[in-house]
Amino acid sequence: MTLYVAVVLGGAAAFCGVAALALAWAFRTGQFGDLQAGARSIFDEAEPIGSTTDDGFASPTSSADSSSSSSRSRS
Amino acid sequence: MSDHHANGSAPATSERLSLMNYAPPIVLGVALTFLSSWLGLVLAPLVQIGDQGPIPTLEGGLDQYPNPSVGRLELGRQVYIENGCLYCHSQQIRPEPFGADIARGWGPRRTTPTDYIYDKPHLLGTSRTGPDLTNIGARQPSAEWHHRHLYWPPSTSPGSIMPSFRFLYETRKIVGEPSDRRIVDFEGVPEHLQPPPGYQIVPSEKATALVAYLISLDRTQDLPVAGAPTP
Amino acid sequence: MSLTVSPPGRSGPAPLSERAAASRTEFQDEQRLRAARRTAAIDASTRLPVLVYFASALFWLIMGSVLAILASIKLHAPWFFDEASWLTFGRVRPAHLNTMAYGWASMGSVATALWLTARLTRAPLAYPRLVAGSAILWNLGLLAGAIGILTGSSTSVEWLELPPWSAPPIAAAFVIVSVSAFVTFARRTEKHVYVSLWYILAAVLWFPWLYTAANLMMFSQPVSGVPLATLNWWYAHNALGLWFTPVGLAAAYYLIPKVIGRPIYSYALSVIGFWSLALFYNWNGGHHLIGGPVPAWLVTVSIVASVSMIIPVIAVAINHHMTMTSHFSVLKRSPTLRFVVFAAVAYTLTSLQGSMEALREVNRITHFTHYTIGHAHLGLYGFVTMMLFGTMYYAVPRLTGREWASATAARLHFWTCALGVVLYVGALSIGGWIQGMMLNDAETPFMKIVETTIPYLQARSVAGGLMTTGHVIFLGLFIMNLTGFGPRRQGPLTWDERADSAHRGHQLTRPSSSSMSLKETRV
Repeated sequence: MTLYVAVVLGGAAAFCGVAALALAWAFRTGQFGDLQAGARSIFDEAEPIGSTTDDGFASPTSSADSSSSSSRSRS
Repeated sequence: MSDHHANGSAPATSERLSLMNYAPPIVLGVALTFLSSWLGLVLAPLVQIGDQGPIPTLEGGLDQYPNPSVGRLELGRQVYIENGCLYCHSQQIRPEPFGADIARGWGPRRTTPTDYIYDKPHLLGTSRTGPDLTNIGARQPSAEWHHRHLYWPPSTSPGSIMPSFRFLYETRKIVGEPSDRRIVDFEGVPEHLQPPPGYQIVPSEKATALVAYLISLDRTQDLPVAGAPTP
Repeated sequence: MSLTVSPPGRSGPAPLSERAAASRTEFQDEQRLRAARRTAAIDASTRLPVLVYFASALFWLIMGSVLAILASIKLHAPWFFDEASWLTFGRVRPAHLNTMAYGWASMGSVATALWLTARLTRAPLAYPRLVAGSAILWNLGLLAGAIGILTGSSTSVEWLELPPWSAPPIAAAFVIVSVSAFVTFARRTEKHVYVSLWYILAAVLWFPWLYTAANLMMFSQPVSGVPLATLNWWYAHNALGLWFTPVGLAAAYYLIPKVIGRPIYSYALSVIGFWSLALFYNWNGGHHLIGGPVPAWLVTVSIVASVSMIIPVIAVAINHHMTMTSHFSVLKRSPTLRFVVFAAVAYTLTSLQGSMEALREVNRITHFTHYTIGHAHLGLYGFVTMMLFGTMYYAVPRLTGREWASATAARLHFWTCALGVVLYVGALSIGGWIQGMMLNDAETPFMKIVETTIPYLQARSVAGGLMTTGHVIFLGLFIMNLTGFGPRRQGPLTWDERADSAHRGHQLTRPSSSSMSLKETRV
């Protein structure tokens, strides 16, 4: 039983230590640096920031039962 | 944006990417977290309680508790499994201040890992739409009661929402003497489910085995690890 | 803005500045067209496997709904279809769970994960035909398994009821999916690995490993007794936490920013959310055994991990809410966003509810009751299912080249499902709580408890009917989309690559429509 407790507590302590070191390392080496570039990576020239890409419920003027999307051109 | 890269030309600025942009650190990290829980929730209990054996119950170890389900009991256990009894019935008694399991008379003591050493798969259950069955054999040892209950649950338990298991029973023509295994008492069973004159309702092999298994469910044995039974 | 390329024989020299402006615009138009074409080509590479997986998922959704309604009615009208063994509650219920979990939710999640992987890596999906073939293997395995459960071969191990001949084909199909995702990732042309991709990489690594390990240990190893219970709940909770949840969150992290056209609020927060989920979620399983015959430390560790889940959940909730801030009006226009935001809110609610349920004092009441079933549906329906619907509303038109045929039907779909799940969770939460209070009072006769829960169980059947109505409507929309009903998508989409290359000569005339529509989209 003592062995179990020792293993569990020792493991927990080692784990917390590693986690703290990893976090410290991440901050020091700038892992949290320019993250927003990643956030912008899903946009491109065709669908840039600022343009919505789905409006199936929009355009009340269009025929009652047809959805239209932003990327559809007026035909 | 990412365009220059896709076009094959070199990035305009030498941008430093964080480790979250590479597969190895992500894969390694998530593999380690996953392994940690396997060690903790699967391997550790196996090491701690996985090698328990039965305990002797008579002087000189002439009898033991628990006993494995063999023969008809094992078949009954399979019937219990294939018909999903555990979706409404648990087989575990929680200790006293935690719920009213013992106060309801479902068992004299909490159950421990020793009670289940032969259970494969385990049938602890997570639902009590119906009552707990840990000790149903001790609480209701009558095979006749179980057969009536399984055939038409409201006949023994008015208001029950347990489904009828009459597909485990056979309607047979009485040839000579009626079977002594037949259901005798049809009080509370709808007319059309009672046997017509000259016929009898007898349990199939599966029904007989299931009832034998249910009656074998008795975990009232005193266990030192579980503490003294609550009066 | 000039939308078309100037004809070569333009009359009269234009002023220099005007010419420069025109060429700049031309350049931008060309860039846009190229970007749009690239995305369309990548979407096209996923078309076959993703549509096959989505279609299979919908088939299982309908099967699972029928089984669900049967099971639900049986709980307040036990005589309902009770003469046949294969329709008894104890078989229909696991058949429902397994068709929904491994058919609908898993196959839908595979399609979502693969479509997102290709888009986010900006690389064509690897082995598309093989992946589509894996769906056949998966479907056959699951069909054999569902029939097996109904005919009496269920294992009665919750979440692992599929008989032994059913799990291997599903696991094999999943390995193919995982390999495709990792190879696609290795071929990526986008250097940033977006947050959704972290979740997907983790999920496609975790799930086949988890599924195989759990099946092997449960059924092939000489292990018996209580260790099987901890294995069972380690598996079952991880199926939610390490498979459905990461894929659902990946979809939310992609679709919310993409639909409203705004990057995610805080990327640092999403890093914290990801790693804390990876760290805590897989330790949750023990909270299903509180009070049970298991080592106390194991339950305590799981309770601590369950409460710690508040960290990733709040991180995700803040991130999604702050991204949405001042863009809620888009909800009126976008079917995708409506489903996704509903799902994201349900994720927050069900996770916080789960953390509370793991506390011993709450669990004392809710354990063994219908409350747990309500909680499970808030997660698997409110979050996972609604998120899959949202993803399909976005992805399918981009794969088929057709818009949804009817906005009215889509609205109806949303409201039947949304009201259905709210009624479902509401009824079972209230009914289950009352049931738990009564169970804990030894003086209350058991049959009195059964009687009390019946109205709530009836309300659940009504809720199931509403949700199933929505599913049938959506199936109709999906079939119409596949069979060519609904307006054709135009603009930058080169969804049909062959037709496109055949018309390469007209390429320069295409930007007009695309740029025009792009201009329209600016809000």
